[in-house]
Amino acid sequence: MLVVEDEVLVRLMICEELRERGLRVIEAVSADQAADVLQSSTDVDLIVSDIKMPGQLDGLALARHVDTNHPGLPMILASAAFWNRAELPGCVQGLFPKPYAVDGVVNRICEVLKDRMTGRDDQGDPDAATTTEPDPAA
Amino acid sequence: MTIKGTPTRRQQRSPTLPPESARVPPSAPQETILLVEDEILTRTVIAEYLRECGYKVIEAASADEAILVLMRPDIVVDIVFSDVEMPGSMDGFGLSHWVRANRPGLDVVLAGTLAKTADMAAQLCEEGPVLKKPYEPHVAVQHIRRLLAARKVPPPR
Repeated sequence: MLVVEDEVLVRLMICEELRERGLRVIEAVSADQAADVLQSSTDVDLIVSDIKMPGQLDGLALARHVDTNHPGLPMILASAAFWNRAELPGCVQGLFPKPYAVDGVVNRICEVLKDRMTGRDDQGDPDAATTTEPDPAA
Repeated sequence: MTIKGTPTRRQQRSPTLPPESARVPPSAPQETILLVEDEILTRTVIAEYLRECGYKVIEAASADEAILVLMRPDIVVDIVFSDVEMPGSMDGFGLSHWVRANRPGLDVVLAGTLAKTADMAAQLCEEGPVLKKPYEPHVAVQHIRRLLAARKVPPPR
């Protein structure tokens, strides 16, 4: 899976947790780098991305790019701002307010990956995650 | 497998497993390498290789990110493995200087492509372990292992 986050300490925290759960994680510091990874032949099952990031693309632009060029590839987004479901591209299967509790995001990641592996055509409930309370300790 | 800028497609899809000699026995304590490389496809291949060798790897995309990690007292780093040429406020040599000033005793392994690497390394006034790109990943691992082993040997009286 591909994690896109420009803050190194946040990225480190979430990627460590994912690796501890046995997942292979590629780390990108920008949506531009993520697009480079997708353009290569690297296998990616899921993208987790911050929305606000420096560079030409932000997380939303990346999601639109994924919808167009990699149909079927799911994304989970995180943002400090409020977003309506209708504003989000179809590949988005979870939206977490920042700062988030790592456990909540990682659990959602594992659910989406499990659905993908079992071949369920589940669009998930992207709004379900929006009720997650921001983690004051994060 | 040779690291030379952007890896080949085959390298990206199925990174070669490290040779037996490069792998760390499962019982060995997991040491942490801070890998500093701005090129994502290169960083990913090297990081995966080092993890296959049994190390814990923290990935930083710039010297600035590396310093943010090194300034955290709760994050233990045993060795820094950095590219020489990187965008941002400092390159790999700048990072080496920062480490020498702020984390004395922490080894830095540099990897670079340019002839200037040797000249710049000389300016570090130390036995700066420098790998010239392209390099074989297992050579980097052997380098890292030697440095880590040397840290464990008490200095001669």
